[in-house]
Amino acid sequence: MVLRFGFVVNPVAGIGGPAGLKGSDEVAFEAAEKGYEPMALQKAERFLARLKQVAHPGSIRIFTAPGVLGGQATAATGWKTGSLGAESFDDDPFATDREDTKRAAAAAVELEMDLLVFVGGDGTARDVVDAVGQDIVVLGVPAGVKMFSECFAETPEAAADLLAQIAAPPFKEGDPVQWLEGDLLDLDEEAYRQGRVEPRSHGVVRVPDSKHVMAAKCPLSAGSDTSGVVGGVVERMSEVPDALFVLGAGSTLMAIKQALEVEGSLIGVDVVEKDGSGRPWRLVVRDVDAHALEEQVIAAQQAGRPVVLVLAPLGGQGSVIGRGTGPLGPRVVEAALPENVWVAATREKLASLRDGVLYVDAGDAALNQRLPAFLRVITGPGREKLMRVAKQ
Amino acid sequence: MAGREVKPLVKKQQETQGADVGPSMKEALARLRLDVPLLASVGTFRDHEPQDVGVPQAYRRDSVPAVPVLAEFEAVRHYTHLSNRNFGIDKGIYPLGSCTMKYNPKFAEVAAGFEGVARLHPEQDPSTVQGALQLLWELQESIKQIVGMDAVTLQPPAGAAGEFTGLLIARAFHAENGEEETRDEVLVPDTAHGTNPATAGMCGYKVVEIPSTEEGEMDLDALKAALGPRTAALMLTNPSTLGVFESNILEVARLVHEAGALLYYDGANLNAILGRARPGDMGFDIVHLNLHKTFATPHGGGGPGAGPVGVRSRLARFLPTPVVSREESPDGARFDWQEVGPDSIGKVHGFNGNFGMLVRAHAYIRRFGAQGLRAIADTAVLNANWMKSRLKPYFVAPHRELVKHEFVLSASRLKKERGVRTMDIAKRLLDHDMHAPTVYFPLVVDEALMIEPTESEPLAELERFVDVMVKIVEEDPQTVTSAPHKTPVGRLDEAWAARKRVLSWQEAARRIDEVAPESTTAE
Repeated sequence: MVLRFGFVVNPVAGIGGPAGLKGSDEVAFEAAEKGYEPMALQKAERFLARLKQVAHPGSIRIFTAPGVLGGQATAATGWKTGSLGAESFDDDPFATDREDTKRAAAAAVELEMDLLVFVGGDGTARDVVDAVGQDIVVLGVPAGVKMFSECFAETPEAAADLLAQIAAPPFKEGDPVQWLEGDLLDLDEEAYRQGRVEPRSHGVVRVPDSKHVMAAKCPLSAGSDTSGVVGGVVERMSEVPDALFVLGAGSTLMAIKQALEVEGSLIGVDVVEKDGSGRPWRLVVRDVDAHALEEQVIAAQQAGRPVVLVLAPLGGQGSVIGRGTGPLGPRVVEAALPENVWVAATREKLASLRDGVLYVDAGDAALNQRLPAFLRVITGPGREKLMRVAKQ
Repeated sequence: MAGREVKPLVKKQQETQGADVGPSMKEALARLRLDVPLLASVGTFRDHEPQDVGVPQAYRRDSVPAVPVLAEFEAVRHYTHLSNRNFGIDKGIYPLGSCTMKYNPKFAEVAAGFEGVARLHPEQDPSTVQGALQLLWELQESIKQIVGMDAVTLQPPAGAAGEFTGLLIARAFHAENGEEETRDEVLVPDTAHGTNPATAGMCGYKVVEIPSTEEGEMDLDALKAALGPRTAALMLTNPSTLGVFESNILEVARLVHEAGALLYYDGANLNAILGRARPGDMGFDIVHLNLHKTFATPHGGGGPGAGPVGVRSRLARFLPTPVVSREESPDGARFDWQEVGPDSIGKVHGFNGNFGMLVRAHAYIRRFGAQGLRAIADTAVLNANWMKSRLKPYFVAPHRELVKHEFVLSASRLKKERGVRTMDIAKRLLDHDMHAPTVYFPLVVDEALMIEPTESEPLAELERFVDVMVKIVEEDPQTVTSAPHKTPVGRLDEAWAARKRVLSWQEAARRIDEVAPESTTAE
């Protein structure tokens, strides 16, 4: 009846935020020089202290890397732990680097842990997933500057509650932890520091299925059920059988691609159309680049066919079309105006957008002016919600 | 109760065969407790010899029915015990936002129990039920005055049924204009009750949600962008579920009508404006009421309800049929059922709805009168604002400062700083014999607590509620997150309950044995 999880702290996570540096990847020294303290250890201790309170005694066993990578925080909160590796580390947080995170994460897979918990932000999430891929379920304790990825609990305490819930009966040793796929997102920190928001998808992370959490609200943005949204989009797509559909990236769109039974790409843009023979839908181009997409769109327009863009807002941030959306150039967006820019998202995802608006940047000032002031977001079959558009 | 076996009754077949009592019958009789008053009082074995009433062999029972055999006192104790474990408005404050859980006054129960009310049959000739028809007619008239509409049906048996009726009327209106196919969208604000989109969907409409502004009002720009030749209706409650009065309502009505659509009033929050403002004067075309909210009839729980619908004169001919009519004659007024006509949407319920509920609402309206109803609204609004101002320092209070009958707080800061969520507060309130407010609704507010004290509660009780809320905010988070501690059943594993549903008593009995064999005799 014991849940075993690997635990690793990115000790410098979050240091760049208060320093106004929008991320900590390469600027930890700079932030430290400005006199900022890393907050990650404190967050780690909050998580562990809460876990001590809420978990059934003996239901959880933690395996961690030593020192600032985890051992220090577990010792401070009175946890006896197993080891993720014998390497010894300096107590100076700035002497560790991302290779330590990766080594600890890989060890958790090696030791067949049920779950991997890390303390950090988007950058740490990427390091973890770099090391473990989809071999283990991952939960993030939020401690970073940017946390766009769909693998974070809302607070350190919420992460502890979620774990306690997973480890509670009827969980038995050897039960696989139920998981969902979440988007692994990160910004280009250099661009972000210069004021541009360009989150990109960096693949998929397995996160605990939020049904383990109390019913009313889940701490993971990936937890909301997209099946209604998928049904709503597919229903609407069927109403315009002659259209050329440009399907964007991300997990919501991936679910749509799966429902259409096409071998679409998770992190790329795909072109899809109605197929007369056999399968109902046909993949025209997978993971299309800007030039090929423009050619497809021009050809469709010349044939008098409507061009429909189906996109999803980035969780938390709300960007629908931006410079980070890869192959969607002005020519493509223009072809879909005014009515055929479709956005798909759950009502929960819309409610959690921090600015309450959708961000659209078609890459051309004149074109941006022609974008509608509101977009209708498909939230389910026969259900839409109007969202205000902020043009960048 | 928990330890009792379920004891079957005697086989009916053998019983009717009189003297031929076989071994299994003897066994069954031995298990029966023939001395119990309940069985005697309903006239079973002890008092009456079983008689052959000629039920053909093929229709007789082979097996004994699996029902418990209990003495009357056991049954009474059982239900009294259950009622003590339950929480109701007769036990304490029940500030469930948007549900208007006001006290159900007993004078209304008395009125509903009058011989001449409770013992009528709906098929009786109108000449023999003039009083009942007069009561219904007067209620129709009262509702017309209260909401400012021209015609009313009392037929719909619940609030949601009233909504459905209202939208069927809207659809009939558009169909008459040849726009049934083209007007296929119903607009709702993002704070709408779940029943609004559900009703629209059930009527075959697509649902388009309109976002709210930071003030909590509907975003007028978004409304303008959404309105068009596809719009059938805008469904709105005013004040909204945030307790915020839509100050642009006249402009909203103008825009909706300009687009050729109808404006629908969800009466859920009428309690806030009784005697102060009327949906009809705001420009609404169709109104449904929840008598169990505004007019204090008991809340459903699956029982009978009433959701009257009022409309403007141009929509009156679409109402469900019949309505009650009044005709002057030399012998005084005559009341009768009146068919609505060929344009009626038909019937939405048998006869004229749930009469008992209509009687209670009529009694309530008559008891308070116009001045009293206005005082009810004023008190409800005052109570909500008083309570909001007392609780505001401890929570995040989004939207406008002054509200109507209810207000929404967010426990987001508490969650962030102390790990205490809205659900934990709700559970902890039970330890103080108080029902929780509405939680996690509306969806647009993070960690929402939606509180509606109503006018029923005395100041002392409102103060006690505020004190308890403050205590919960300030006490040890561990105590709150593991609450409730004093209820007969502690915190439930909701994930487990949702995944492994037990929906029949046989299954429950099996599970109890399986999960905790000793607990069946423990209580």
